[in-house]
Amino acid sequence: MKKIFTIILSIIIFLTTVGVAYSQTQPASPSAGEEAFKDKVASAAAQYYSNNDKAVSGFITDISGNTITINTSNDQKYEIKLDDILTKYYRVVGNGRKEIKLSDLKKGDYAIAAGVINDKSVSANFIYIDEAFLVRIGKVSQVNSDNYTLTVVTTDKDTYTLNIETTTKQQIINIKTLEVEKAGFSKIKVGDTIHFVAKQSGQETNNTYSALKILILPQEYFMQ
Amino acid sequence: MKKETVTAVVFGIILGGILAVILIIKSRDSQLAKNKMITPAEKTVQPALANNADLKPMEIVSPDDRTIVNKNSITIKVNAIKNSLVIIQSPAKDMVFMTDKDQFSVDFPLAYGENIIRVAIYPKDKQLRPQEKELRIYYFDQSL
Repeated sequence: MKKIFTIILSIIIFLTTVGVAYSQTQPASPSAGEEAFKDKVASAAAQYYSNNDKAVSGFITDISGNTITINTSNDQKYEIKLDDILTKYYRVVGNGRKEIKLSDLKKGDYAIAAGVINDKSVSANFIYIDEAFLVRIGKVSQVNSDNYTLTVVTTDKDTYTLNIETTTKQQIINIKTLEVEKAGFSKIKVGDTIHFVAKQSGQETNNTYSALKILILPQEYFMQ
Repeated sequence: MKKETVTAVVFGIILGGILAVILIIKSRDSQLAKNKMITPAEKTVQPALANNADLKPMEIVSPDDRTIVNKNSITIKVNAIKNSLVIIQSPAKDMVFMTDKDQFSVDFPLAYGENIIRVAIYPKDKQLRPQEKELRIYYFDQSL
């Protein structure tokens, strides 16, 4: 009887020890909820850090108290939160900047907001007022030699009218050497591809811009 | 406690301990095998699919759009199409060149403030569509 008792007790203790040891070796498997929570925290942290070295820019559409609203080039509205102490304001002047005040900002200014971006809201550390540019590519659909304008249609089917001023830098790509050469208005033909840069005021009508520079890729390039 | 009970307890603990050590070692090995890659996976050589490769879309590998930098130039890395005419334009600079590889990398100057950079490729094979992408890079000489 004593022997049976000893054997049974040995087996029980043996199994208990093994069971405890085995359970210690197995990693705790998190529930689906815990996994999702961890993923969310990791993705929020990643987004926070990746957004911290980014900026958003657009025309100021509203200024109210410590918040300004900007409208980006792809028509998205961002709410920029300003801090009385933290946020600094600058105007880009040439290749540098000049410090300004919040009261210097006005509707229609082109603002760059840098800070912590969270979806469509930015807690701004810096606001820069800069010039806005438009950089596009399109095919020439009309050349008007009377008033030196070009009608250009982009791949997105947007139509732009470009005023070619005396100050517009005009260049053409030599299709044989691929060198960029100086060009005149008379070199531009319907069907040519134009890479252009224009200044934007945000008040343009009918997509008409004064071109700062154009780079012509003649249609003959595509016929070689 | 009776002698038999003590013997049973000691015997059970010793046997259990031995098996526990074996279990721990085994399970550690299996965990390592599951989680750790001791050597990098062998690269599989993809057969050349010239036609499919030519159809791939242009991709700006770096920098990311809307990035802030604190120096006046940036290296643009692009996955393009071999033998394409590349035109990169910004208010500050125009760049025109041919790429004989399906990836290129160029240093591009930046102006203070916002830089809108448009990258376009015109494949030599005229049946392939030209492609374009826009990047906005901000150059400020201070950190956030």
